[in-house]
Amino acid sequence: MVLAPTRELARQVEKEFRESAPSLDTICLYGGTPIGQQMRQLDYGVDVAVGTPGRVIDLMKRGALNLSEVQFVVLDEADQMLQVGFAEDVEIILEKLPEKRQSMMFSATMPSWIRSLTKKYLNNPLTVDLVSSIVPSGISYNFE
Amino acid sequence: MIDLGFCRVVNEVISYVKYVLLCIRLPNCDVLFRLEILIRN
Repeated sequence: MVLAPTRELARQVEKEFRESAPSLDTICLYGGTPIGQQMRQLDYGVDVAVGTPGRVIDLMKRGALNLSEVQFVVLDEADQMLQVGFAEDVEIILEKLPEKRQSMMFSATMPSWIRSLTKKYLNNPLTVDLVSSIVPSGISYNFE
Repeated sequence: MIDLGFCRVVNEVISYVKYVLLCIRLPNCDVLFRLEILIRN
């Protein structure tokens, strides 16, 4: 499950999944489009769901999106979630995820909401800081 | 007015950064990534 703050970003991320892992079934979930088609696609099951928090919650409330088997969750541009008013929705979604999961959060800035989110929903996270270029021990970057 | 050329460049940079991140060997634990995109002339 990947959460993104805007439909444009959600579409871009889903496109990257489709191109880099074509064997996976992916779905992009965002508002402003008919929800019925997304519900039908979810019925068949998906490997990767990328979406904006508003539509994700809408689908959860309709019983179309079951998060109980999510293994990995990504919060992309987490600080932008706060900017566009998705803070509460993000926390509602995170509460519904299974405890046993891997969480990855991406953020350019670290406002207090991000820090509290990290404490509350991430389990002793490793911090990869590409701004200050500090590489944690045990991590290596490969650029091609 | 939107400068489409600039938008295209920004999109390519964002895609590149995400590609680089995909190449990072992720540890089997929760991760907090901090990154920002700097574009210089």
